[in-house]
Amino acid sequence: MTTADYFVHCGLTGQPLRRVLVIDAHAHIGHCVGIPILDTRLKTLISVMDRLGIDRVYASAFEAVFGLDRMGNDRVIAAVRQYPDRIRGYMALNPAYRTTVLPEMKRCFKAGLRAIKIWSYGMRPGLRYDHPNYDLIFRFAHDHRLPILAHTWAGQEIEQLRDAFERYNGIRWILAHAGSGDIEKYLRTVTVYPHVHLDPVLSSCPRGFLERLVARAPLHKIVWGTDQLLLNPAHQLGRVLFARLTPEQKRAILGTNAAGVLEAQP
Amino acid sequence: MKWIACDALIGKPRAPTGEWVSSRADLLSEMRRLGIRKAMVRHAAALDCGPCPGNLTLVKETRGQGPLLPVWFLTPDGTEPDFCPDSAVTAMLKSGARAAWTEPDAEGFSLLPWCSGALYEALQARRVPLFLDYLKIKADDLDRVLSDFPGLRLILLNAPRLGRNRLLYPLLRRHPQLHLCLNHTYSVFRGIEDLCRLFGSERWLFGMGYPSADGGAAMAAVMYADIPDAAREAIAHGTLERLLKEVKT
Repeated sequence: MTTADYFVHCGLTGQPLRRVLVIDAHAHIGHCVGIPILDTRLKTLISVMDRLGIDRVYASAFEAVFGLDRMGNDRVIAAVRQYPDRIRGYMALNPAYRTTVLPEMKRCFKAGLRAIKIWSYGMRPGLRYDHPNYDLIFRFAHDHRLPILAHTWAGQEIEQLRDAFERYNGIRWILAHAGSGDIEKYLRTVTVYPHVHLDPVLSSCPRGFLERLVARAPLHKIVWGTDQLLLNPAHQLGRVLFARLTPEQKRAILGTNAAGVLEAQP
Repeated sequence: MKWIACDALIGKPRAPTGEWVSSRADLLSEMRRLGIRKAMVRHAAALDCGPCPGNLTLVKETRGQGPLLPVWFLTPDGTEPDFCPDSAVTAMLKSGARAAWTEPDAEGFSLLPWCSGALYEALQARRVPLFLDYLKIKADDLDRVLSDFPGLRLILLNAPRLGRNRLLYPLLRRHPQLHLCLNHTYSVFRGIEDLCRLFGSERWLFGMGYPSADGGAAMAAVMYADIPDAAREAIAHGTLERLLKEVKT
Protein backbone atom coordinates (compact mmCIF):
# COMPACT_ATOMS: atom_id res chain seq x y z
CA MET A 1 0.00 0.00 0.00
CA THR A 2 1.41 3.34 -0.98
CA THR A 3 1.10 6.33 1.31
CA ALA A 4 1.50 8.50 -1.78
CA ASP A 5 -2.26 8.15 -1.92
CA TYR A 6 -3.50 11.02 0.25
CA PHE A 7 -6.49 8.98 1.37
CA VAL A 8 -4.36 6.07 2.55
CA HIS A 9 -2.06 8.50 4.31
CA CYS A 10 -4.99 9.97 6.22
CA GLY A 11 -6.27 6.53 7.16
CA LEU A 12 -2.89 5.38 8.43
CA THR A 13 -2.29 8.49 10.48
CA GLY A 14 -5.81 9.35 11.59
CA GLN A 15 -5.54 12.77 9.96
CA PRO A 16 -8.79 14.43 8.92
CA LEU A 17 -9.40 14.72 5.21
CA ARG A 18 -8.82 18.38 4.44
CA ARG A 19 -7.96 18.52 0.77
CA VAL A 20 -11.19 17.00 -0.50
CA LEU A 21 -14.89 17.58 -0.17
CA VAL A 22 -16.46 14.97 2.12
CA ILE A 23 -20.23 14.69 2.37
CA ASP A 24 -22.00 12.09 4.48
CA ALA A 25 -25.27 11.51 2.64
CA HIS A 26 -26.71 9.15 5.24
CA ALA A 27 -26.69 10.26 8.85
CA HIS A 28 -29.14 10.32 11.72
CA ILE A 29 -29.59 12.38 14.84
CA GLY A 30 -31.71 11.85 17.91
CA HIS A 31 -32.61 8.76 19.88
CA CYS A 32 -33.01 5.31 18.36
CA VAL A 33 -35.34 2.56 19.49
CA GLY A 34 -33.60 -0.61 20.66
CA ILE A 35 -30.11 0.78 20.18
CA PRO A 36 -29.14 3.31 22.85
CA ILE A 37 -27.00 5.92 21.14
CA LEU A 38 -23.99 6.81 23.25
CA ASP A 39 -23.99 10.53 22.60
CA THR A 40 -26.77 12.39 20.79
CA ARG A 41 -25.36 15.89 21.26
CA LEU A 42 -24.86 17.86 18.08
CA LYS A 43 -21.58 19.27 19.31
CA THR A 44 -20.29 15.70 19.54
CA LEU A 45 -21.40 15.00 15.99
CA ILE A 46 -19.60 18.12 14.81
CA SER A 47 -16.45 17.15 16.70
CA VAL A 48 -16.50 13.69 15.11
CA MET A 49 -17.00 15.27 11.69
CA ASP A 50 -14.01 17.53 12.35
CA ARG A 51 -11.92 14.60 13.46
CA LEU A 52 -12.60 12.68 10.25
CA GLY A 53 -12.76 15.65 7.90
CA ILE A 54 -16.43 15.44 7.00
CA ASP A 55 -17.59 18.78 5.63
CA ARG A 56 -21.34 18.19 5.76
CA VAL A 57 -23.79 15.54 6.86
CA TYR A 58 -27.31 15.01 5.59
CA ALA A 59 -29.26 13.77 8.58
CA SER A 60 -32.70 12.54 9.42
CA ALA A 61 -34.00 12.09 12.95
CA PHE A 62 -34.52 8.55 14.19
CA GLU A 63 -37.76 9.67 15.80
CA ALA A 64 -39.14 10.89 12.49
CA VAL A 65 -38.10 7.75 10.68
CA PHE A 66 -39.79 5.56 13.27
CA GLY A 67 -43.10 7.41 13.38
CA LEU A 68 -42.83 10.61 15.40
CA ASP A 69 -42.35 12.66 12.29
CA ARG A 70 -43.13 16.12 13.63
CA MET A 71 -40.98 15.70 16.71
CA GLY A 72 -38.09 14.28 14.71
CA ASN A 73 -38.32 16.84 11.95
CA ASP A 74 -38.30 19.61 14.54
CA ARG A 75 -35.05 18.16 15.82
CA VAL A 76 -33.61 18.21 12.32
CA ILE A 77 -34.79 21.75 11.63
CA ALA A 78 -33.20 22.94 14.87
CA ALA A 79 -29.94 21.15 14.02
CA VAL A 80 -29.79 22.71 10.57
CA ARG A 81 -30.41 26.13 12.05
CA GLN A 82 -27.72 25.64 14.66
CA TYR A 83 -25.12 24.34 12.21
CA PRO A 84 -26.20 25.52 8.75
CA ASP A 85 -22.80 24.93 7.18
CA ARG A 86 -22.34 21.44 8.59
CA ILE A 87 -25.75 19.81 8.94
CA ARG A 88 -28.37 19.53 6.22
CA GLY A 89 -31.66 17.84 6.87
CA TYR A 90 -33.86 15.09 5.56
CA MET A 91 -37.50 15.35 6.45
CA ALA A 92 -39.16 12.03 7.22
CA LEU A 93 -42.86 11.34 7.15
CA ASN A 94 -45.18 8.77 8.59
CA PRO A 95 -47.14 7.74 5.51
CA ALA A 96 -49.49 5.59 7.58
CA TYR A 97 -51.32 8.80 8.53
CA ARG A 98 -52.29 10.14 5.15
CA THR A 99 -53.83 13.42 6.23
CA THR A 100 -50.74 14.69 8.01
CA VAL A 101 -48.17 13.85 5.34
CA LEU A 102 -48.61 16.82 3.05
CA PRO A 103 -48.93 19.48 5.77
CA GLU A 104 -45.79 18.13 7.45
CA MET A 105 -43.87 18.18 4.18
CA LYS A 106 -44.93 21.75 3.52
CA ARG A 107 -43.93 22.74 7.03
CA CYS A 108 -40.50 21.14 6.70
CA PHE A 109 -39.97 22.61 3.24
CA LYS A 110 -40.84 26.04 4.53
CA ALA A 111 -38.37 25.51 7.37
CA GLY A 112 -35.64 24.83 4.86
CA LEU A 113 -35.38 21.05 4.56
CA ARG A 114 -34.62 20.08 0.97
CA ALA A 115 -34.36 16.31 1.09
CA ILE A 116 -36.51 13.38 2.16
CA LYS A 117 -35.72 10.12 3.91
CA ILE A 118 -38.08 7.17 3.54
CA TRP A 119 -37.92 3.97 5.53
CA SER A 120 -40.39 1.15 5.35
CA TYR A 121 -38.98 -1.90 7.07
CA GLY A 122 -36.69 -3.18 9.72
CA MET A 123 -37.20 -2.78 13.43
CA ARG A 124 -40.79 -1.55 13.09
CA PRO A 125 -43.45 -2.46 10.57
CA GLY A 126 -44.16 0.13 7.94
CA LEU A 127 -45.99 0.62 4.70
CA ARG A 128 -44.54 -0.81 1.54
CA TYR A 129 -43.12 1.80 -0.78
CA ASP A 130 -45.81 0.98 -3.35
CA HIS A 131 -48.60 1.82 -0.90
CA PRO A 132 -50.72 4.65 -2.37
CA ASN A 133 -49.91 6.95 0.56
CA TYR A 134 -46.30 7.12 -0.56
CA ASP A 135 -47.52 8.78 -3.72
CA LEU A 136 -48.08 11.95 -1.70
CA ILE A 137 -44.43 12.02 -0.77
CA PHE A 138 -43.15 11.16 -4.21
CA ARG A 139 -45.39 13.74 -5.92
CA PHE A 140 -44.19 16.46 -3.54
CA ALA A 141 -40.56 15.49 -4.05
CA HIS A 142 -41.00 15.42 -7.81
CA ASP A 143 -42.73 18.79 -7.92
CA HIS A 144 -40.03 20.41 -5.77
CA ARG A 145 -37.15 18.47 -7.34
CA LEU A 146 -36.07 17.03 -3.98
CA PRO A 147 -33.75 14.06 -3.48
CA ILE A 148 -35.01 11.00 -1.61
CA LEU A 149 -32.81 8.66 0.41
CA ALA A 150 -34.66 5.33 0.55
CA HIS A 151 -33.78 2.67 3.09
CA THR A 152 -33.49 -0.64 1.26
CA TRP A 153 -32.26 -4.07 2.22
CA ALA A 154 -31.08 -6.75 -0.15
CA GLY A 155 -32.88 -5.05 -2.98
CA GLN A 156 -36.28 -6.26 -1.85
CA GLU A 157 -37.87 -2.78 -2.02
CA ILE A 158 -36.63 -1.98 -5.49
CA GLU A 159 -39.64 -3.54 -7.20
CA GLN A 160 -41.89 -1.52 -4.91
CA LEU A 161 -40.14 1.64 -6.06
CA ARG A 162 -39.91 0.85 -9.76
CA ASP A 163 -43.16 2.58 -10.63
CA ALA A 164 -42.01 5.69 -8.75
CA PHE A 165 -38.67 5.62 -10.59
CA GLU A 166 -40.62 5.62 -13.85
CA ARG A 167 -43.15 8.27 -12.95
CA TYR A 168 -41.07 10.70 -10.92
CA ASN A 169 -37.92 11.48 -12.80
CA GLY A 170 -37.70 14.82 -11.02
CA ILE A 171 -36.55 12.99 -7.91
CA ARG A 172 -32.87 12.21 -7.41
CA TRP A 173 -33.00 8.85 -5.69
CA ILE A 174 -30.41 7.29 -3.38
CA LEU A 175 -30.87 3.64 -2.47
CA ALA A 176 -29.33 3.05 0.93
CA HIS A 177 -27.47 -0.09 1.97
CA ALA A 178 -26.70 -1.18 -1.58
CA GLY A 179 -24.67 -4.34 -1.26
CA SER A 180 -26.76 -5.76 1.56
CA GLY A 181 -27.78 -8.44 -0.91
CA ASP A 182 -28.78 -9.04 -4.53
CA ILE A 183 -26.31 -6.52 -5.87
CA GLU A 184 -27.35 -7.41 -9.41
CA LYS A 185 -30.73 -5.84 -8.77
CA TYR A 186 -29.12 -2.60 -7.61
CA LEU A 187 -26.77 -2.57 -10.59
CA ARG A 188 -29.59 -3.13 -13.07
CA THR A 189 -31.56 -0.33 -11.47
CA VAL A 190 -28.83 2.30 -11.67
CA THR A 191 -28.08 1.25 -15.21
CA VAL A 192 -31.67 1.71 -16.31
CA TYR A 193 -32.52 4.87 -14.36
CA PRO A 194 -30.22 7.87 -14.66
CA HIS A 195 -31.72 9.51 -11.58
CA VAL A 196 -31.10 6.56 -9.21
CA HIS A 197 -27.92 6.34 -7.12
CA LEU A 198 -26.43 3.91 -4.60
CA ASP A 199 -25.28 4.40 -1.01
CA PRO A 200 -23.17 1.40 0.01
CA VAL A 201 -23.20 1.99 3.77
CA LEU A 202 -23.09 -1.38 5.56
CA SER A 203 -21.95 -2.27 9.04
CA SER A 204 -20.64 -5.56 7.67
CA CYS A 205 -18.07 -3.66 5.56
CA PRO A 206 -17.94 -6.47 2.97
CA ARG A 207 -14.41 -6.97 1.72
CA GLY A 208 -13.78 -5.68 -1.75
CA PHE A 209 -17.37 -4.59 -2.26
CA LEU A 210 -16.54 -1.01 -3.13
CA GLU A 211 -14.03 -2.15 -5.71
CA ARG A 212 -16.58 -4.50 -7.27
CA LEU A 213 -19.19 -1.77 -7.25
CA VAL A 214 -16.90 0.74 -8.94
CA ALA A 215 -15.98 -1.87 -11.55
CA ARG A 216 -19.61 -2.36 -12.54
CA ALA A 217 -21.58 0.78 -11.71
CA PRO A 218 -21.08 4.25 -13.14
CA LEU A 219 -18.77 6.02 -10.68
CA HIS A 220 -21.00 9.09 -10.37
CA LYS A 221 -23.79 6.85 -9.06
CA ILE A 222 -21.98 5.94 -5.84
CA VAL A 223 -22.72 8.20 -2.88
CA TRP A 224 -20.99 7.81 0.48
CA GLY A 225 -22.91 7.57 3.75
CA THR A 226 -22.06 6.49 7.28
CA ASP A 227 -25.30 5.77 9.18
CA GLN A 228 -23.94 7.73 12.15
CA LEU A 229 -25.09 8.22 14.98
CA LEU A 230 -25.89 4.54 14.73
CA LEU A 231 -22.60 3.33 13.29
CA ASN A 232 -19.05 4.52 13.79
CA PRO A 233 -18.47 6.71 10.73
CA ALA A 234 -14.76 5.88 10.76
CA HIS A 235 -15.56 2.34 9.63
CA GLN A 236 -17.31 3.58 6.52
CA LEU A 237 -14.54 6.09 5.90
CA GLY A 238 -11.89 3.40 6.25
CA ARG A 239 -13.64 1.27 3.64
CA VAL A 240 -13.03 4.03 1.12
CA LEU A 241 -9.62 5.25 2.27
CA PHE A 242 -8.01 1.80 2.05
CA ALA A 243 -9.94 0.54 -0.98
CA ARG A 244 -8.10 -0.54 -4.13
CA LEU A 245 -9.39 2.52 -5.95
CA THR A 246 -7.70 5.54 -7.48
CA PRO A 247 -7.62 8.83 -5.56
CA GLU A 248 -9.98 10.28 -8.16
CA GLN A 249 -12.48 7.50 -7.53
CA LYS A 250 -12.25 7.97 -3.76
CA ARG A 251 -12.73 11.71 -4.15
CA ALA A 252 -15.87 11.17 -6.22
CA ILE A 253 -17.36 8.65 -3.79
CA LEU A 254 -16.64 10.66 -0.66
CA GLY A 255 -18.01 13.98 -1.77
CA THR A 256 -18.40 15.19 -5.29
CA ASN A 257 -20.99 12.59 -6.20
CA ALA A 258 -23.14 13.50 -3.20
CA ALA A 259 -22.84 17.17 -4.03
CA GLY A 260 -24.23 16.41 -7.45
CA VAL A 261 -27.17 14.49 -6.08
CA LEU A 262 -28.04 16.42 -2.94
CA GLU A 263 -26.93 19.94 -3.75
CA ALA A 264 -27.78 20.29 -7.41
CA GLN A 265 -29.96 23.30 -8.09
CA PRO A 266 -33.39 22.32 -9.37
CA MET B 1 1.39 1.99 13.98
CA LYS B 2 2.10 -1.66 14.59
CA TRP B 3 -0.99 -3.77 13.92
CA ILE B 4 -1.76 -7.27 15.13
CA ALA B 5 -5.17 -8.67 14.28
CA CYS B 6 -6.79 -11.10 16.69
CA ASP B 7 -9.59 -12.45 14.53
CA ALA B 8 -8.52 -13.94 11.20
CA LEU B 9 -10.34 -17.06 10.02
CA ILE B 10 -8.85 -18.98 7.10
CA GLY B 11 -10.12 -21.97 5.19
CA LYS B 12 -12.19 -21.97 2.08
CA PRO B 13 -15.94 -21.95 2.60
CA ARG B 14 -17.79 -25.18 1.79
CA ALA B 15 -19.15 -23.41 -1.26
CA PRO B 16 -17.57 -20.44 -3.04
CA THR B 17 -19.01 -17.10 -1.99
CA GLY B 18 -18.16 -15.46 -5.27
CA GLU B 19 -17.13 -12.41 -3.29
CA TRP B 20 -13.98 -13.29 -1.42
CA VAL B 21 -11.60 -16.14 -0.84
CA SER B 22 -10.10 -17.17 2.46
CA SER B 23 -6.68 -18.75 2.42
CA ARG B 24 -3.29 -18.37 3.98
CA ALA B 25 -1.88 -16.74 0.87
CA ASP B 26 -4.79 -14.35 0.56
CA LEU B 27 -4.62 -13.42 4.24
CA LEU B 28 -0.89 -12.75 4.03
CA SER B 29 -1.46 -10.66 0.93
CA GLU B 30 -4.16 -8.61 2.64
CA MET B 31 -1.96 -8.16 5.72
CA ARG B 32 0.89 -6.90 3.56
CA ARG B 33 -1.41 -4.52 1.71
CA LEU B 34 -2.73 -3.01 4.93
CA GLY B 35 0.50 -3.14 6.88
CA ILE B 36 -0.77 -5.61 9.47
CA ARG B 37 2.23 -7.34 10.97
CA LYS B 38 0.70 -10.43 12.57
CA ALA B 39 -2.66 -12.12 12.91
CA MET B 40 -4.16 -14.68 15.25
CA VAL B 41 -5.58 -17.33 12.94
CA ARG B 42 -8.43 -19.78 13.38
CA HIS B 43 -9.30 -22.37 10.75
CA ALA B 44 -12.80 -22.82 9.38
CA ALA B 45 -12.23 -26.55 9.05
CA ALA B 46 -12.65 -26.80 12.82
CA LEU B 47 -16.29 -25.89 12.34
CA ASP B 48 -16.84 -27.56 8.98
CA CYS B 49 -15.02 -30.84 9.62
CA GLY B 50 -14.41 -30.98 13.37
CA PRO B 51 -11.83 -29.81 15.90
CA CYS B 52 -9.22 -32.47 15.17
CA PRO B 53 -8.99 -32.00 11.37
CA GLY B 54 -9.36 -28.28 11.93
CA ASN B 55 -6.41 -28.07 14.28
CA LEU B 56 -4.29 -30.36 12.11
CA THR B 57 -4.98 -28.18 9.10
CA LEU B 58 -4.29 -25.05 11.10
CA VAL B 59 -0.91 -26.37 12.27
CA LYS B 60 0.00 -27.26 8.70
CA GLU B 61 -1.08 -23.90 7.34
CA THR B 62 0.69 -21.78 9.96
CA ARG B 63 3.89 -23.79 10.42
CA GLY B 64 6.85 -21.62 9.51
CA GLN B 65 4.58 -18.64 8.89
CA GLY B 66 5.88 -16.11 11.41
CA PRO B 67 3.09 -13.56 10.96
CA LEU B 68 0.35 -16.15 11.52
CA LEU B 69 -0.31 -17.14 15.13
CA PRO B 70 -2.44 -20.28 15.42
CA VAL B 71 -5.54 -20.50 17.62
CA TRP B 72 -6.70 -24.04 18.39
CA PHE B 73 -10.30 -25.11 18.62
CA LEU B 74 -10.82 -26.89 21.95
CA THR B 75 -13.74 -28.80 23.39
CA PRO B 76 -14.33 -29.60 27.07
CA ASP B 77 -13.75 -33.31 26.60
CA GLY B 78 -10.19 -32.94 25.30
CA THR B 79 -8.85 -35.24 22.58
CA GLU B 80 -7.46 -38.69 22.06
CA PRO B 81 -5.95 -40.63 23.70
CA ASP B 82 -6.92 -39.54 27.20
CA PHE B 83 -9.81 -37.12 26.52
CA CYS B 84 -8.53 -34.77 29.16
CA PRO B 85 -8.83 -31.02 28.55
CA ASP B 86 -5.63 -30.36 30.47
CA SER B 87 -3.72 -32.62 28.08
CA ALA B 88 -5.30 -30.88 25.12
CA VAL B 89 -4.12 -27.51 26.38
CA THR B 90 -0.66 -28.94 26.97
CA ALA B 91 -0.55 -30.33 23.44
CA MET B 92 -1.72 -27.02 22.07
CA LEU B 93 0.98 -25.09 23.89
CA LYS B 94 3.58 -27.63 22.83
CA SER B 95 2.62 -27.06 19.22
CA GLY B 96 3.26 -23.34 19.61
CA ALA B 97 -0.31 -22.09 19.80
CA ARG B 98 -0.98 -19.56 22.55
CA ALA B 99 -4.75 -19.12 22.36
CA ALA B 100 -7.87 -21.21 21.92
CA TRP B 101 -11.40 -20.80 20.58
CA THR B 102 -14.55 -22.80 20.89
CA GLU B 103 -18.21 -22.85 19.88
CA PRO B 104 -20.54 -24.87 22.09
CA ASP B 105 -23.37 -25.38 19.59
CA ALA B 106 -21.04 -26.50 16.82
CA GLU B 107 -19.77 -29.41 18.90
CA GLY B 108 -22.76 -30.11 21.11
CA PHE B 109 -21.74 -29.05 24.58
CA SER B 110 -22.69 -26.43 27.12
CA LEU B 111 -20.65 -23.36 27.84
CA LEU B 112 -21.61 -23.59 31.49
CA PRO B 113 -19.10 -24.76 34.10
CA TRP B 114 -20.91 -28.04 34.86
CA CYS B 115 -19.93 -29.14 31.36
CA SER B 116 -16.86 -27.09 30.42
CA GLY B 117 -15.34 -26.29 33.81
CA ALA B 118 -12.31 -28.55 33.41
CA LEU B 119 -11.39 -26.81 30.18
CA TYR B 120 -11.65 -23.40 31.81
CA GLU B 121 -9.51 -24.60 34.70
CA ALA B 122 -6.80 -25.76 32.32
CA LEU B 123 -6.89 -22.50 30.34
CA GLN B 124 -7.02 -20.34 33.44
CA ALA B 125 -4.09 -22.13 35.06
CA ARG B 126 -1.89 -21.37 32.05
CA ARG B 127 -3.40 -17.96 31.31
CA VAL B 128 -4.39 -19.05 27.82
CA PRO B 129 -6.82 -16.60 26.19
CA LEU B 130 -10.07 -18.12 24.98
CA PHE B 131 -11.99 -16.65 22.04
CA LEU B 132 -15.78 -16.90 21.96
CA ASP B 133 -18.21 -15.56 19.39
CA TYR B 134 -20.71 -13.13 20.92
CA LEU B 135 -23.31 -14.26 18.41
CA LYS B 136 -23.02 -17.91 19.46
CA ILE B 137 -23.37 -17.61 23.23
CA LYS B 138 -25.79 -16.30 25.82
CA ALA B 139 -24.91 -13.41 28.09
CA ASP B 140 -26.20 -15.30 31.14
CA ASP B 141 -23.90 -18.23 30.36
CA LEU B 142 -20.96 -15.91 29.89
CA ASP B 143 -21.65 -14.21 33.20
CA ARG B 144 -21.70 -17.56 34.97
CA VAL B 145 -18.45 -18.72 33.36
CA LEU B 146 -16.63 -15.50 34.16
CA SER B 147 -17.96 -15.48 37.73
CA ASP B 148 -16.77 -19.02 38.37
CA PHE B 149 -13.42 -18.56 36.60
CA PRO B 150 -12.20 -15.05 37.38
CA GLY B 151 -8.74 -15.84 36.03
CA LEU B 152 -9.97 -16.92 32.62
CA ARG B 153 -8.90 -14.47 29.91
CA LEU B 154 -11.83 -14.29 27.60
CA ILE B 155 -11.95 -12.43 24.27
CA LEU B 156 -15.31 -11.86 22.63
CA LEU B 157 -15.44 -11.85 18.86
CA ASN B 158 -18.20 -10.12 16.90
CA ALA B 159 -19.21 -7.64 19.57
CA PRO B 160 -22.30 -6.01 18.11
CA ARG B 161 -23.08 -2.47 17.02
CA LEU B 162 -25.76 -1.89 19.65
CA GLY B 163 -24.73 1.39 21.18
CA ARG B 164 -24.57 1.37 24.95
CA ASN B 165 -25.05 -2.37 24.88
CA ARG B 166 -27.33 -3.39 27.73
CA LEU B 167 -25.81 -6.86 27.98
CA LEU B 168 -22.19 -6.13 27.22
CA TYR B 169 -21.67 -3.13 29.47
CA PRO B 170 -22.78 -4.92 32.66
CA LEU B 171 -20.63 -7.91 31.71
CA LEU B 172 -17.62 -5.64 31.22
CA ARG B 173 -18.32 -3.94 34.51
CA ARG B 174 -18.58 -7.23 36.38
CA HIS B 175 -15.70 -9.08 34.78
CA PRO B 176 -12.36 -7.32 34.29
CA GLN B 177 -10.96 -10.36 32.50
CA LEU B 178 -13.44 -9.92 29.66
CA HIS B 179 -11.87 -8.49 26.49
CA LEU B 180 -13.42 -7.42 23.20
CA CYS B 181 -12.21 -7.77 19.66
CA LEU B 182 -12.73 -4.39 18.00
CA ASN B 183 -13.26 -5.19 14.38
CA HIS B 184 -15.92 -3.83 12.00
CA THR B 185 -18.77 -5.47 13.92
CA TYR B 186 -18.28 -3.14 16.85
CA SER B 187 -19.40 -0.14 14.84
CA VAL B 188 -20.70 2.17 17.51
CA PHE B 189 -20.68 5.96 17.29
CA ARG B 190 -18.12 7.06 19.92
CA GLY B 191 -18.02 3.42 21.02
CA ILE B 192 -14.26 3.01 21.35
CA GLU B 193 -14.05 6.28 23.26
CA ASP B 194 -16.78 5.14 25.64
CA LEU B 195 -15.18 1.76 26.28
CA CYS B 196 -11.85 3.40 27.09
CA ARG B 197 -13.49 6.03 29.29
CA LEU B 198 -15.48 3.53 31.34
CA PHE B 199 -13.26 0.48 31.41
CA GLY B 200 -9.74 1.63 30.54
CA SER B 201 -7.78 0.90 27.38
CA GLU B 202 -6.28 -2.51 28.16
CA ARG B 203 -9.19 -4.77 27.24
CA TRP B 204 -9.69 -4.11 23.54
CA LEU B 205 -7.96 -5.91 20.69
CA PHE B 206 -7.81 -4.88 17.07
CA GLY B 207 -9.49 -7.20 14.59
CA MET B 208 -9.35 -6.97 10.80
CA GLY B 209 -12.52 -8.94 10.09
CA TYR B 210 -10.79 -11.36 7.73
CA PRO B 211 -12.07 -12.90 5.53
CA SER B 212 -15.40 -11.15 5.12
CA ALA B 213 -14.68 -7.51 5.94
CA ASP B 214 -12.49 -4.70 4.70
CA GLY B 215 -9.65 -4.60 7.23
CA GLY B 216 -9.16 -0.89 6.64
CA ALA B 217 -12.51 -0.17 8.26
CA ALA B 218 -11.39 -1.30 11.70
CA MET B 219 -7.97 0.32 11.26
CA ALA B 220 -9.62 3.66 10.57
CA ALA B 221 -11.87 3.24 13.59
CA VAL B 222 -8.83 2.89 15.82
CA MET B 223 -6.87 5.68 14.15
CA TYR B 224 -9.73 8.19 14.23
CA ALA B 225 -10.86 7.38 17.77
CA ASP B 226 -10.56 10.28 20.18
CA ILE B 227 -8.37 8.43 22.65
CA PRO B 228 -4.77 8.87 23.85
CA ASP B 229 -2.08 7.43 21.61
CA ALA B 230 -1.12 4.98 24.35
CA ALA B 231 -4.64 3.57 24.24
CA ARG B 232 -4.43 3.35 20.45
CA GLU B 233 -1.20 1.40 20.71
CA ALA B 234 -2.72 -0.93 23.28
CA ILE B 235 -5.65 -1.69 20.99
CA ALA B 236 -3.59 -2.06 17.83
CA HIS B 237 -1.11 -4.53 19.31
CA GLY B 238 -0.11 -3.97 22.95
CA THR B 239 -2.85 -5.78 24.80
CA LEU B 240 -2.73 -8.86 22.61
CA GLU B 241 1.04 -9.01 22.88
CA ARG B 242 0.78 -8.77 26.64
CA LEU B 243 -1.84 -11.51 26.84
CA LEU B 244 0.26 -13.84 24.71
CA LYS B 245 3.40 -13.06 26.67
CA GLU B 246 1.65 -13.92 29.92
CA VAL B 247 0.71 -17.41 28.76
CA LYS B 248 2.46 -19.99 30.92
CA THR B 249 3.99 -22.48 28.55
